[in-house]
Amino acid sequence: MAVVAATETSRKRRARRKRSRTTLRPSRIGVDRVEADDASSRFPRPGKTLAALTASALALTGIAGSAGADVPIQEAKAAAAFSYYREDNLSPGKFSTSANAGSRERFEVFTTQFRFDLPLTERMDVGVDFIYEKMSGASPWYVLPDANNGKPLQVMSGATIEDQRYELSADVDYFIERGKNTGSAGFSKENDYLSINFGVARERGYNDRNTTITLAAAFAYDWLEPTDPGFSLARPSSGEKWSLDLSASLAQILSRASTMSLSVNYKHLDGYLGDPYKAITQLGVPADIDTILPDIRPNQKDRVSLLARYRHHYERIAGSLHADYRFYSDDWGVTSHTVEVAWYQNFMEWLTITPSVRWYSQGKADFYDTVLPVGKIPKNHSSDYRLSPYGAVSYKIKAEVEFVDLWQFDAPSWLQALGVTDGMDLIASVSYQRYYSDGALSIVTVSESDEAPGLLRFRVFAFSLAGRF
Amino acid sequence: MRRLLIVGLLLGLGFATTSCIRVKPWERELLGRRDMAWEPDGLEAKRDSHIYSSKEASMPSGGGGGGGCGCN
Repeated sequence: MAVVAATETSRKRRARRKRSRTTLRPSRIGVDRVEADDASSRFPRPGKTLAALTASALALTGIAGSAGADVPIQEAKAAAAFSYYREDNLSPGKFSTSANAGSRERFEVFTTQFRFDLPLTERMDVGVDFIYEKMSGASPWYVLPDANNGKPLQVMSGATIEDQRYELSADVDYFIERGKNTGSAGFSKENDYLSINFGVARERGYNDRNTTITLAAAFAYDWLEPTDPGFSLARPSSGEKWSLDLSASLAQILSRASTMSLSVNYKHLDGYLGDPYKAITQLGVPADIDTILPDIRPNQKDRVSLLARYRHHYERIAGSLHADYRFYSDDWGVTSHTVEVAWYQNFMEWLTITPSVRWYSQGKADFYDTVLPVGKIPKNHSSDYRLSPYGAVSYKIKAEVEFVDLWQFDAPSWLQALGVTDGMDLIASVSYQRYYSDGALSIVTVSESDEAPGLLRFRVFAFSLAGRF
Repeated sequence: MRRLLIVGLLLGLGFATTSCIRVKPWERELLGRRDMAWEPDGLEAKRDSHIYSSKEASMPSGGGGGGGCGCN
């Protein structure tokens, strides 16, 4: 009897799911489905036909991402991604051979990511993220001027660095009438680094949900215990820091097919903010393990950023435009601009090809120098290429397929309790990304003596699989 | 700074005027597409954000804090 009852329930579910899908037909692909009946009860409506339409419209969750639905997710989701990040070898023309163990072979990272989204109750859903990374390679250490022409050359560490990183984080959404509250927590662990973080966010819809305001706060605490602290006088034995991150964003629907958002973010960091594996030298002082100076940065930092995002769907050609701009400024003297544009082109309702480009330009930190000049040593100093002036261009191409109802099955009751119903949609993607940074790509002119020889080039291959149940 | 203020004011004004536009819930089918989300692929966004925040001076890290050093 129990079996029969279960099958009946399952059939009913399938029938109901089909009904709700029919309503959503025009854009089945790329739309998160929610049971129509659940959503409609939350919205006042004039008549029956309109009710169905309203329901289907509300069912379209993820109205511009975080400005989302009024109800928790109704189906469980599971996603996995695998990626390989590889930095180009340092070019021989920028490499200093003076450190014997130094290697031109830079970093590579293998990353595995998992994410699970589960409906919990009528008002709550939960997401869990897990990341495992394995990295190895050589890292920029300090800079020396070329003996012949004074051009900065990069001294590298040996290619013996190996590390692993584990990250686990979870977020819980609690839905109320006009929005949701989110709480999150996570930690990240490497051999020499531990970080924990907590966050809260509050999202509310106004003006018939045409406007959404989100306020968020996050706190993080990090501990650092560099490997091999006795390696040089320049390397500290431990450090810790904390940070507080506050942000506010306003998302506004502009038309049936376009939306934009503006966010402002403020972050305060306090504690050891240097890089224990970097050092700096001074002109005229012969560099060796005992004379190189540690990377010393202020132990506070205040940073502000503004982000504007725009999304537009072109129905006739089944394509969506994403355009983002970010302005950043901090009290270390760094300002930056980032522009990112992506085009999501849909074919046959199951294939999406997405080319995207990103341009980034940053100014240098006040205390950045490739090599310190002769004279008094300033309090703060760093030769880290990340604090140098440069620009970067990257492009990415991604292909994604989405198969709706690829697999039908009768889920056992314990799976149904987790939100797994009776069918599975499969989403798979592959992508390739290339990144170049160079002084010449900067918005400002970068002098030869300022340009970091360790500027980065990398590529990323990624593959992902996701299921909606 | 002044230029920034002007840009901010203009954008604010833009928003104020657009708040008159009301797209009804049943007209939001296109806005609900996954390719119209702020971040259509969460795992990809998280990965990119970790790479950029550990390799550039000014990118925010994932959820606003933590995420490991990744400083090599």
